Amino acid sequence: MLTRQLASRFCKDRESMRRCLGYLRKKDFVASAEGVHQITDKGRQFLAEGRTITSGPCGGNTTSRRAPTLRQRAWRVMRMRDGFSVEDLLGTLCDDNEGDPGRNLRRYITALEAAGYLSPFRRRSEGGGTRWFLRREMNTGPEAPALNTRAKRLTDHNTGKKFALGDQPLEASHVR
Amino acid sequence: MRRMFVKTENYMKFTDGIQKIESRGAKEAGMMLVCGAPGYGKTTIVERWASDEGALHLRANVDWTPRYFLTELAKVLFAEENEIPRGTSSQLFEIMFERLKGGDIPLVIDEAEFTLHKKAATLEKIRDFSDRAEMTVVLIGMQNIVREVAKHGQINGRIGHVVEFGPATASDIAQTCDQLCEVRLSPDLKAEVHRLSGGRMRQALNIIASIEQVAEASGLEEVDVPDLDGMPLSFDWQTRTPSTVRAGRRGR
Repeated sequence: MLTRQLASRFCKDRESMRRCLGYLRKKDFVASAEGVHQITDKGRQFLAEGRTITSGPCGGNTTSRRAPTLRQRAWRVMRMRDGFSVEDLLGTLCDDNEGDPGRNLRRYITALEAAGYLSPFRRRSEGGGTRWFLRREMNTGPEAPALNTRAKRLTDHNTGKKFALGDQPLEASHVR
Repeated sequence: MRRMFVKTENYMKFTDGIQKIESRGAKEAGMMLVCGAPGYGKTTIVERWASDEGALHLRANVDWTPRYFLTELAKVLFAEENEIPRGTSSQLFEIMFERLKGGDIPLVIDEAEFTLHKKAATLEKIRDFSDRAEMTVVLIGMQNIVREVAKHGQINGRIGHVVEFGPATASDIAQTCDQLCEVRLSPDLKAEVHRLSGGRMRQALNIIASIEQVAEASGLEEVDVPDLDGMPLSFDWQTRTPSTVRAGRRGR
């Protein structure tokens, strides 16, 4: 079956399905070629034995940066739009179940601006907030640059570049 | 005003359409048309889905040609400048086809009317990707795009589903008021917001922001129609007159 068909069958989004299939492939439970997936004999046997996959150490190969986090999804919207404000991102991405998404996004935007990814527009949004655009040359790829708030470091996994944000406060007063 | 995504009936229609397209068989049509008047939330809803799915997203321009489309697709598919393939159109197509084969990454084209120039040459190229790479393609356009696409028989046959966005319903607007407005609105006032906005979500948000300002200035925690009677909360650009709250409409 194709990824989209499996995602549809299990009512999952495609990205979660891709990650799930990647995990099953690593364990040799599923074989994939050109986007088509098939259960292996090992996978069938595992199912027949009624066993369940348990979590365990993954040798430092964490997958968290691939998870569809708020920042990852915000990065995707930044790549789609010609310009955006924090309100735009909240209105497109946030449901009622995130802790403080506004603060999270403002920190992220401040870091991206400090690292040279974003530039502000001169005109503000209807609500009075700053609007930014992603600079063409800094649209580096699908993976959202990862912000380590404590270390004040931004890592772009598309290019491998790291940006030390130094003493830059991560909640600049003009970001609202 | 609180800011968050409101799952309206248009959103439900869209996700239902996507579910149908995604569960299609290998040889079935993989293109979906999303159409409707401006302000009904097409772009926001599709962007929400595209950001969840990691879809490629392009906005067509008035001067799009097949070559222009291929170049733009290459830029989003190979983000690093030194990775972006160069070559003839057919070489570009083959390189990107190899990358997209299997249909794991959906493609969204906003302002899809601009792919219909010159006997829909650009849309034909998009169809090639959809057919051969088995990609899901979502085309967003205005109301008349369905009729325009229908003129091109071969492409029309590849449209697996059409989602037509309509104005927000009264219950959509009531839900929006409940989720986003920081003061409580009476059921009658929610109905007034629906009437004044004409079901356009952008307009409804502006009206809600105005109501909040009035409530703050008057120290109201709950607002009803009489509190705003005669107050202009919206502007009708067609008749060039302000649309005012009418208390006489209560109890409809």
